[in-house]
Amino acid sequence: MEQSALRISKIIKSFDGIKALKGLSLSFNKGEIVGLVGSNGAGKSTLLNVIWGAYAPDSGDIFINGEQVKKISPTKAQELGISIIFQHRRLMPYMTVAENIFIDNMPKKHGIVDFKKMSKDAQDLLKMLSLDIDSSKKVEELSAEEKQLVEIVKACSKNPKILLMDEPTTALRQGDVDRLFTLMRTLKSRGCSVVFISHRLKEVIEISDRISIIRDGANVSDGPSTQYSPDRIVEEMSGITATDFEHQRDVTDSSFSHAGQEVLLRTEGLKVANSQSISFELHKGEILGFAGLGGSGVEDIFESLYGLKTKQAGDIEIENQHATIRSPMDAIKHGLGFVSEDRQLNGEFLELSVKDNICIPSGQKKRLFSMINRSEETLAAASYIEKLNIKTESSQKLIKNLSGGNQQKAIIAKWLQLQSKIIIMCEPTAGIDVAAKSDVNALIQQIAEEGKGILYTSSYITELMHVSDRIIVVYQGQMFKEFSRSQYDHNQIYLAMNGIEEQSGVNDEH
Amino acid sequence: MNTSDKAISLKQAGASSSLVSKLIGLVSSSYLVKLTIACMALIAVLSFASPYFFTFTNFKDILLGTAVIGIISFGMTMVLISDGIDLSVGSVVAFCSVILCVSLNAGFGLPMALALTFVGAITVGLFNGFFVSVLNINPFIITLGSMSLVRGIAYIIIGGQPKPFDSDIIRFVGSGSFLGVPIPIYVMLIVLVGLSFMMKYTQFGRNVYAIGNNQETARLSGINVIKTRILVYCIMGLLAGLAGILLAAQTYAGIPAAGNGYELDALTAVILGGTSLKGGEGRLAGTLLGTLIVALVLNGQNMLGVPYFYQLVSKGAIIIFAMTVAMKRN
Repeated sequence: MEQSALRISKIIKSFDGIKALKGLSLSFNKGEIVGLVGSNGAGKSTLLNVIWGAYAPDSGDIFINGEQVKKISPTKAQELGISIIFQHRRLMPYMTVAENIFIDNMPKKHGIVDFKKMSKDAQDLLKMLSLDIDSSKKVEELSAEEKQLVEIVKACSKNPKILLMDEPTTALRQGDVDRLFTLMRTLKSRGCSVVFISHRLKEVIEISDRISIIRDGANVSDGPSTQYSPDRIVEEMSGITATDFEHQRDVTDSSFSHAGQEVLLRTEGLKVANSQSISFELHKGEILGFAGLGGSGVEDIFESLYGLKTKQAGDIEIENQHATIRSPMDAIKHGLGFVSEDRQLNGEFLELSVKDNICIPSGQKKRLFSMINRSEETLAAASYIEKLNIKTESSQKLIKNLSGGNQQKAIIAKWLQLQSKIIIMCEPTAGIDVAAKSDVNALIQQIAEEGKGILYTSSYITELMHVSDRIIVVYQGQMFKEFSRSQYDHNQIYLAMNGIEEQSGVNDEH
Repeated sequence: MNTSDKAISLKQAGASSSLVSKLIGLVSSSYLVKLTIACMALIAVLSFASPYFFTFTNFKDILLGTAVIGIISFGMTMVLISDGIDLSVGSVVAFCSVILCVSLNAGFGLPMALALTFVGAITVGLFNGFFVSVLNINPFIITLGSMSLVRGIAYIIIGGQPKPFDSDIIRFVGSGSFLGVPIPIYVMLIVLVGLSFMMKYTQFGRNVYAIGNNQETARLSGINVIKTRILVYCIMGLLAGLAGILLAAQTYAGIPAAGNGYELDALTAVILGGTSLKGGEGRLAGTLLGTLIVALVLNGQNMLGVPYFYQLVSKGAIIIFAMTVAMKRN
């Protein structure tokens, strides 16, 4: 029997009593590329973190080259030849490619860095991996793809036997991954095993020798990639089979269709960053969901509508009036509000009270040196605290002392206080716990019913389906497909996000 | 009926919550309480140490001595809350004393001379604000540059040496008094009250706190960040100009070397007063106490005949102490 380069067996790992990995097993051979596939929250990243020693598993065994490794730590993992490349790049932008590659292992001569040797080593390494990148270039001058390649070269400088890659293509444009795949094949031919996480099904099938599918922290299936089609992967990932489809379609469009309603927002041929020809209408009372994998362009579209990104072409109409939006101030003037993915980064004033967080946007309507109407604001804040069920003893409490879900509700409240007609919500439930998520989503549906128009996106398809009245799928910067409520189908949406049209034959087989 | 009942109950909820928040406020302002205690302890110690200390005349002198630096420190508090810094204030003091002197000597009437002086002050503020806010360049660097630039212009205008001027009204502002209290002290108190009110009760003041807290959130919340930040530097310029006029009024001269190091004295008082260097936090009451403590320490040493060199050492110690406390509090 061929010996596995790495074998993990029955790994269990829980966080706060919730099992993220429920006895997961995985093994792969020398020089094999394994595609690890699963929905968000299936446990893929947790698994990688266990393998390279960042998380200690509660139970289970890890074997490397047939030998059991008792306690694994990041340092130990490195000694054993395991390298990992993260989703977010960790390169120093102002240092050269060579310096980045050897950052923790600079060649020295008489105690000082031997730059000559370093640049030669870097150039040799790049040549060996058949990459045409100048090692004396600063990293900030490289393209997104080249940066990702340098990250891999950096990992390769340690001669890894096993390379773990957590969504290496997410930051790259779809289709712009040829050199990355060539490099992965080069590594493979040199006997290195690669574990690769991606949501892009076509890519996974193309590059992997073997595909391993996990769901809810457990194995679903494992086999040569030739046995997998996108449909099969999606079905196994979601656990929803074609026979379940009828079940889901048990809804009528009528209660979710807002086609007859007044149009709040219309875009015509919008072009921003890599997205183009984006044309859609948002109606009064409608929650319009956008689905797309990372880098597909959904974020660009949302941000351009709020004046955070400049649109290169196209027209935006709000309530049938042409609208020029160059900044958030313009957007607010036209009745837009924005709930961001990262509250702490740009959603809230942590050191200010709940009341101030709710009332600052509406206060901007008044003259700059006019007095704040304290009693009016306290009353308004108190009414939102009651209406949205925000858990806080007082509106004077600093927002940072509230739980994540309640903070997010207060952020939504500020747009209600401003009487925004359209609220753009970019992953509004990111980083809050499960109970609070459904709370926030219920709130979003409630405010839509009251006549707001909502643009919504979430990387969780089930959540997106639950909340939205209609879903537009964006693929490679284009509107790829639209699903009305009665057409909702988890797997078909996921396939569309991967640029795969419904294959009518598949459904008929079952 | 129902809705009005609801409104009343909400109002009551607001009232009771404001009581809770007042209590919370009292606890969180404990740093201010500590400062007040420190201030009083200092007065007690110095009163025992020197018989000349605890007298009306001496307290008047201390307050008179803090008027100019106090006004600058209050402005600096606002700048720091907005997550900025202004190192050019000392130079603006000199610049404005020079403009006032030269324009009076050139035969302009007092109103015209004062107008020119404030135009000069606000021009520097606009200059700083433009680079910091519109071009988004680090305020430390910009105001370090304008500090030298403005000082140079002051020297060029007046020709190197201080020059005297005369104006009865200005003379009264500098050395007159009302009800036994010198005019500059009134000016300082008016600035304190006015600025405190502005920071606490107006949209502008809250926007300054918001921007200092999180500029990106401020922008996404529709705050006109650029305009607000320019205004912050303009108000700072105006206050430094006012301080310059007071200084000129006390010395009857335009002095191009005046106000040297005031930016650091002001920063000492502001940071000792509990304003965060990271922006978004700070109170003018703290700055007042900070200013007083520094003045008391220096005055006490004068009373006790401590040589100037040792006073420099103690001032340095205060800065280091204040910074350490500030960093630990964060």
